[in-house]
Amino acid sequence: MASDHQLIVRVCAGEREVFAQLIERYKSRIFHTTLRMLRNREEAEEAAQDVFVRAYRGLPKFREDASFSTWIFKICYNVCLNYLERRKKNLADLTEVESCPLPEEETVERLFENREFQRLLEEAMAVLPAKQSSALVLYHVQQLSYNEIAEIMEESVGNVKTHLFRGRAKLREKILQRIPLEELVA
Amino acid sequence: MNCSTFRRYLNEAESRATLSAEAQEHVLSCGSCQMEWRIQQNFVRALETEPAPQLSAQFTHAIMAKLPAFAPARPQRNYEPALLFVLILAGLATTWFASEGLRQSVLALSAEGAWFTVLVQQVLAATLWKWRDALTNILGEQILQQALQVLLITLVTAAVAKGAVALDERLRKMLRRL
Repeated sequence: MASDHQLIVRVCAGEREVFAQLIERYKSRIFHTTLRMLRNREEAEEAAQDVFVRAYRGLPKFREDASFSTWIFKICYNVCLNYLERRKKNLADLTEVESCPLPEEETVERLFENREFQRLLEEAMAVLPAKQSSALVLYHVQQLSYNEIAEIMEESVGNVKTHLFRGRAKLREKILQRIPLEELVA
Repeated sequence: MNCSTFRRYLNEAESRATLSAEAQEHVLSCGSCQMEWRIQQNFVRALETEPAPQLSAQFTHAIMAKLPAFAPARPQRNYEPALLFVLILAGLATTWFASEGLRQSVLALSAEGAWFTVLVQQVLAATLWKWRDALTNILGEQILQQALQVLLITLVTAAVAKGAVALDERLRKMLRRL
């Protein structure tokens, strides 16, 4: 399988359709991130498309020694911040944060695996500051390292850890308001 | 490990699922930290097991339709600063070797020693609107004029080089569109 860099060289040499392979390779992770950050399916899909269009236009600026994965997540993070900023301008949007539906076939066995908890988590994530929710999504959902997140968010590793710590603390606080502590640690 | 170092460890540990031996030992002996650890584990599990969302079938096609018709330029190194530097050096060298008077005047000044210190002191001492007079007094009319000529040639060379690079870039873009 061709590496990201090999595909980029081919795209830049004029094989425009090769970019579709890069989209296929990253679309799930990018969409997952935009959805977790924006909490609105339609907007998230549009943002994910913007990420790839911006990446395509920005390929000439892509450094050969850089990681394409980190680079595209950086674009993704900036696109999501723009969307959130735009949303802030319209206060009405703030009251209409959607929950992401879960697949029907999901088994409900434990509190932390059921829909109710996922829904509570979604709600709690939706009210976190953008930097905290971004750090949580990039770390826990995308499994990126502190260094990668720091590069994406253009912050120090220490700041990333602080965003994660505060984000988790706020999530816990929000969920504890709805679920008794005994159930949370069961 | 005590409670505060354990809490710091929970926040900073790169490992998401397992505890170090030292941390594990503390968790087994401290009910409060054990609760903290279990809460965090539950959150992390819930976050990490969020189901991956399904994208519409037309996603890739929709993006490809939005892309510009031409391919982005191949990543290339920017030689412009290096080119400008070489041209400026060439301009200075040409002027230096072409002007016998300039060479002799500068060498004579250098031979006197500490001329640069005197120059700086006098320039700083001079008022802003009399800077030219001060330079003329120190360097002499001829050297000052020649120095200004060198500066002018250098600036013109740099401007021409910059224009040539911009023109080259524009032509490349036009050719790519064709």
